[in-house]
Amino acid sequence: MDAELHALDRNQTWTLVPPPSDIKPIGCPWVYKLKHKQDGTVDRFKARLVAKGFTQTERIDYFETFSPVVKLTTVRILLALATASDWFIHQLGVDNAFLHGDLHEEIYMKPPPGLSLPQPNLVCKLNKPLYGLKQASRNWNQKLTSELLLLGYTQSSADHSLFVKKFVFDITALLVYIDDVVLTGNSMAEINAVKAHLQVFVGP
Amino acid sequence: MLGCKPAPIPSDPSIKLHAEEGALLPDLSSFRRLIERLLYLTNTRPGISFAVQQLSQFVSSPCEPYMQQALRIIRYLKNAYGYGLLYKSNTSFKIQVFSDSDWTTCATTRRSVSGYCVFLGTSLVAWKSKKQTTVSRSSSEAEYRALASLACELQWIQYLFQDLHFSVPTPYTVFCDNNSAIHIAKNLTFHERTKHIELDCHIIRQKLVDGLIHLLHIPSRSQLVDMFTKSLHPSTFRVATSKLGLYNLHTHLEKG
Repeated sequence: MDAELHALDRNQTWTLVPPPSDIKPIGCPWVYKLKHKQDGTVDRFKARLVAKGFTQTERIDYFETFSPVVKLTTVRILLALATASDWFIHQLGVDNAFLHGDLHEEIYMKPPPGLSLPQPNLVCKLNKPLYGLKQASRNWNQKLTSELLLLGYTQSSADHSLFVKKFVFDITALLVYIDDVVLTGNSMAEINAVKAHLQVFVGP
Repeated sequence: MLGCKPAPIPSDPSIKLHAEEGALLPDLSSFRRLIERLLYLTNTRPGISFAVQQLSQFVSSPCEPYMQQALRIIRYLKNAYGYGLLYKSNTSFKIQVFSDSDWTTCATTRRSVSGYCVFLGTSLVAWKSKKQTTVSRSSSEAEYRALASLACELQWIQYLFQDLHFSVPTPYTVFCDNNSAIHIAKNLTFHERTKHIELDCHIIRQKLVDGLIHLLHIPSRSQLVDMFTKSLHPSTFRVATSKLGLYNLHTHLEKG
């Protein structure tokens, strides 16, 4: 829980402000999850602060919510291609992915339980989409997509979660499944470059 | 379920499931959750595709016999614990496709089930088992509809290869065990018996002309997609899984 609060703080997820009179801040419970290892033993306890997205109103608190995920056929085709062409295959996961998206709407939230406030009666004005918000996954996806396009990748129109970069004989393909990424290609230099760039992009 | 007896096949060929037979399950959500998980598992387990497809038709009103069948899939999974798709490195980049349908499989609506599987060299990359949207008057018609939905998938795969800057030799070879369906696709014969088929199904003819696909006949016994259109007996099921390129991870690693 402390780790999560720390991450939220470091990311400047919210600013504490006095509550605006006409706005009802949304609640945010903690959700606790036990993560298991493959053999069934306890790996770690996970605490995640979520916003009650179901209390949001469409066209006021959020507009678009659609976010694409990769089709499994694409994954299999790419893996089959990569094995047959003897490419490198890497996978990455992004911690607290949604917190890196950009929030365009103005959303106020009750202070999370366990947060010490400098003075009472403050609410959190969200700067970043918190988990549970309706638009969280879309905002993250847009942010990652625009970053990859900046890096010179082209988004496939056949599968919007597939990104390809071709440079002379080097080809690199990237599959995005929300916060998990499969990276494959014949150039180790390019793979390392993307990994390093994404590392900076999603923070320390 | 830990102590259950492993089953050699995911669904019993002698059992035909009808809608709303038997008593409604007391706990509906347990069946739905199980189907949800099994559906996810079909992403890497083509073997259970047909069995799960059959059961997922009944999530709106789950009855006792369906739960029995769902548990049978789990018993099969216990038996086929380490099985998975093997993608070999020494393979060609040729696309080979097998298409089939089973006429009037659905006992309630009399609709047919189409199935296909797509290979990239020896790697199985795409497959489907799906009930068709309308009743077909003949098995050729059912096959023809199956080919039409396959044509759409192949066109998409072709786009995907384009985006990956990868040239895969076209036309893709499509094997179908029904000669009349191939004839209907190749030219406008049998007009009297095919005039009611929806126009969008004729996309297959267009894709043939465009040179995307190439239709070939294959004897039914060499057909690889049987497992996506019907329940098979243990011996045929075993042969079918090995032909699809499914290997047991544990035995394969031991052999090296």
